Amino acid sequence: MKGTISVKRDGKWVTFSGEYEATTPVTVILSELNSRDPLLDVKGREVEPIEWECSCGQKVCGACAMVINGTPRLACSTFFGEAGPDIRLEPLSKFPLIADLKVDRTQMYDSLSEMKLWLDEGVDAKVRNIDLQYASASCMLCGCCLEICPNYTGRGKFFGAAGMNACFRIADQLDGAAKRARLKEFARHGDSGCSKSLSCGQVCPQNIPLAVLISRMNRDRIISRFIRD
Amino acid sequence: MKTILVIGNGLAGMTAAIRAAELGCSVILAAPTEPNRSQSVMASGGINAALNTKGEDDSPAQHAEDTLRAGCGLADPQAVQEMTEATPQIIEVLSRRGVVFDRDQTVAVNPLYLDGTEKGADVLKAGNIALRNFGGQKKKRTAYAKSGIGMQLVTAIMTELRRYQAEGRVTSLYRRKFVSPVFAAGRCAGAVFENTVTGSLETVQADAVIAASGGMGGLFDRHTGSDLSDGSVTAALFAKGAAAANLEMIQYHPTTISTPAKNMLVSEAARGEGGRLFTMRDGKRWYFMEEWYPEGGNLMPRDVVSRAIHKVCKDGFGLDGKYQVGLELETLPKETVSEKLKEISELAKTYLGIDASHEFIPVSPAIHYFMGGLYVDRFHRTTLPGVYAAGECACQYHGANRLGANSTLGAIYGGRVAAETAAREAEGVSAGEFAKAAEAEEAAIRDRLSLHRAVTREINAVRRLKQLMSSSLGIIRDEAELQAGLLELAGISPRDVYAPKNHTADAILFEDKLLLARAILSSALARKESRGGHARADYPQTDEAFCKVTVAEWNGSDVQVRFDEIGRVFA
Ligand SMILES: Cc1cc2nc3c(=O)[nH]c(=O)nc-3n(C[C@H](O)[C@H](O)[C@H](O)COP(=O)(O)OP(=O)(O)OC[C@H]3O[C@@H](n4cnc5c(N)ncnc54)[C@H](O)[C@@H]3O)c2cc1C
Ligand code: SF4
Ligand code: SF4
Ligand code: FES
Repeated sequence: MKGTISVKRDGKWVTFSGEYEATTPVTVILSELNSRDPLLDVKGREVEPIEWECSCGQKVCGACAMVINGTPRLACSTFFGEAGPDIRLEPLSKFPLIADLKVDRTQMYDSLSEMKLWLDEGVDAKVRNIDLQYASASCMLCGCCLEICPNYTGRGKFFGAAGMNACFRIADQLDGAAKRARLKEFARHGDSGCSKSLSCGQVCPQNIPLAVLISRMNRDRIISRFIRD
Repeated sequence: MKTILVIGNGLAGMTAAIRAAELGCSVILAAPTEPNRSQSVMASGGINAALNTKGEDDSPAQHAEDTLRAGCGLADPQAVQEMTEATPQIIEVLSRRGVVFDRDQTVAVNPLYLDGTEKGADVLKAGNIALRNFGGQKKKRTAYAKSGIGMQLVTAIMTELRRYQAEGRVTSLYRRKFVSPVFAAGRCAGAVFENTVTGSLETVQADAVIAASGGMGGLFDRHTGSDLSDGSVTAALFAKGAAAANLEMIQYHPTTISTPAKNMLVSEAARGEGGRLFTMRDGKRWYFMEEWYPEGGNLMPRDVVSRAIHKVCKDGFGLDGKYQVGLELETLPKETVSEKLKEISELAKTYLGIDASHEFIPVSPAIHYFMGGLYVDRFHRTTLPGVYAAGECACQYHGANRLGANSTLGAIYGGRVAAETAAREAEGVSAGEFAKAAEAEEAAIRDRLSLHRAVTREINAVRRLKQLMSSSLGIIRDEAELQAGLLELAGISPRDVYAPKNHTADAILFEDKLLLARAILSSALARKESRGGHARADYPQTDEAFCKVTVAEWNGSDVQVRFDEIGRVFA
């Protein structure tokens, strides 16, 4: 099937044409374009290879997240058949741009540090929400949820669904004062800035039940007000 | 304070960084991406530990025995025993650091939880870490986390790393690609990286360097892992004289699906739940594994199943004339396919458009794990002074074949040991001495780059190399194929390769990869026998004379291969 691939480069579209099977994922299309030597756009001008990121190729590592036809998605599980024949690829816009489709997502990792999301010492395993802990720990830190979020800007104190999700597991594994401290971080950097539109849950490639995690933490916060150690 | 530089931030690299920091070192952890993009995150089945909670009378000694048996005589018994003895403790530590393992059962001690009090909730007790059966082991010994152990391990260890970073004890550098070690006063004193954002070369000084750069899948056409694990660090160190060992020992996983992008693992669980392998003969389904191995059937060890599929296909019985057989799940109960084998059904649906509850899944063997790599002793020293290696990039613990679920363990345990040895032996040079050596190394890199002509783009050169490697190093090799591979390799002119801006160093890493490729082919050629992950059509027997480590070395003009006694310790 014939089609075009447009890639946002320095704010402008660069368009390529190609022929792909319906089952070809965007990752394979990008590799194919980069193997063209010289790489010519539809107007026949030679352009530099496309910068983008990929690792696992199968929806596990989050590296290949980008905006595909206006929606944040993983390139390795978006196929020509559904996204084509004319595909538009843009970098995630809430992170500093490195080049083309490649962004620097360090700020997402830094926000987890700012919320002190770690265990201060060893913990006993808790089984209360073990399935939810598992789901929360499956976050790929891809950034799709932040891209779609109307309130996340990447600059303020609101860390979006990725931040709230990471908060859940740590708060859930901790007790007492340490737990309350993380729930406070959740309130400060998550809940207070979130308007519960839940677009995040719709784009999360891991289907993490973000709404459930948020409501659990809110419940725990209320409970914790009545608890004294 | 000693400074340790760790290259690669998968399970081995993160663990080494944390351990070195615990021991009071200042740590720099450098890699091209964030930790959770590394191949470690893909591990699915589990991690082995003789926890002996199943009333099966298991023990670290039996875990060692199984590991050594799978290794077909090539694993270092002392290293393996030390690892399996440390393992129950390691799993306990991982659990306390928040890894969400599956649990046996849970005991509600205090029903007060039901009225919502936190104290009540906290006395709910977790049961033992659940253990499952896994290939090659008679006892239930594999701790797991649904079907995503890698993700759970990486997330929890990354969480711990975050604390060390916040305390300033570990500095993480991302978007740094290792290009070359820097030697001063006869020891490795740091490294040169390419900054893949700016394209500039940057040097990092250290008192010891730990390579934790993963396997070599990226040198092969069809593999189950990440292309980030491309053997580039192994290659660059090999080119600087580090010896590599057992490079020919490559594990093929028998059941992978072949998609336009890559081959993806279909775990043993599919056959564990009753899935059957077949192909068509005389218009009927032929369950060749069940016919050939009435006892073990579809659950024979990985290498046996891979070779059987290979034989069926080579004999012209591949399904639809292709290199593939069928995995029959559609006859299993529907809930088994949709619940217990959920990930597999989803993979087949997403990437092949196949509904596994109604149709069979076409599968074929593909490269999955590298038992060989940088030659290390049981303290994880390489043959280069000041350089240590751990994880899949190192040749340790697995001998000629790896037991499923032993490699995440080998990466975590090995990372610890490497950090302990490095911290003990670290010995730096002055900043001035380093600066001089680093400048010379950078100049050498620029000189090498200046010799390259823009003829073939690196992505295409790598593609050709991958095809060559995969066709020469199939499940069953022979002299003619290996020689043909070497000949074709010699025909690739390394200096005709160039890489896009900000990645120019890839062109010289490609030169090093060619050397490593030559070493892999030469090692396979030299081992004139069949053992573990190395099967020769022309030497089908195992030969006791080869119960040794294959050692490949680059002496500046030639790749040389020799055989060493097992268990050497480097001074
Ligand atoms: C699909 C799949 C399933 C698996 N399932 C299991 C399982 O169930 N149980 C089990 O025990 N094992 C399993 N394995 C194997 C196991 O996951 C790996 O062997 C192990 O995680 C390797 O860890 P590592 O830290 O050594 O390397 P990796 O996780 O591969 O990390 C290598 C690191 O080195 C970096 N790097 C590479 N090149 C450079 C360079 N030039 N400069 C700087 N950094 C560099 C990479 O970016 C990465 O950070 C599986 C593997 C695959 C592919
Ligand atoms: S619910 Fe809406 S506002 Fe809240 S994190 Fe999700 S997308 Fe953002
Ligand atoms: S919560 Fe989902 S969308 Fe957000 S970073 Fe994690 S995996 Fe990606
Ligand atoms: S490449 Fe890993 S999620 Fe797409």
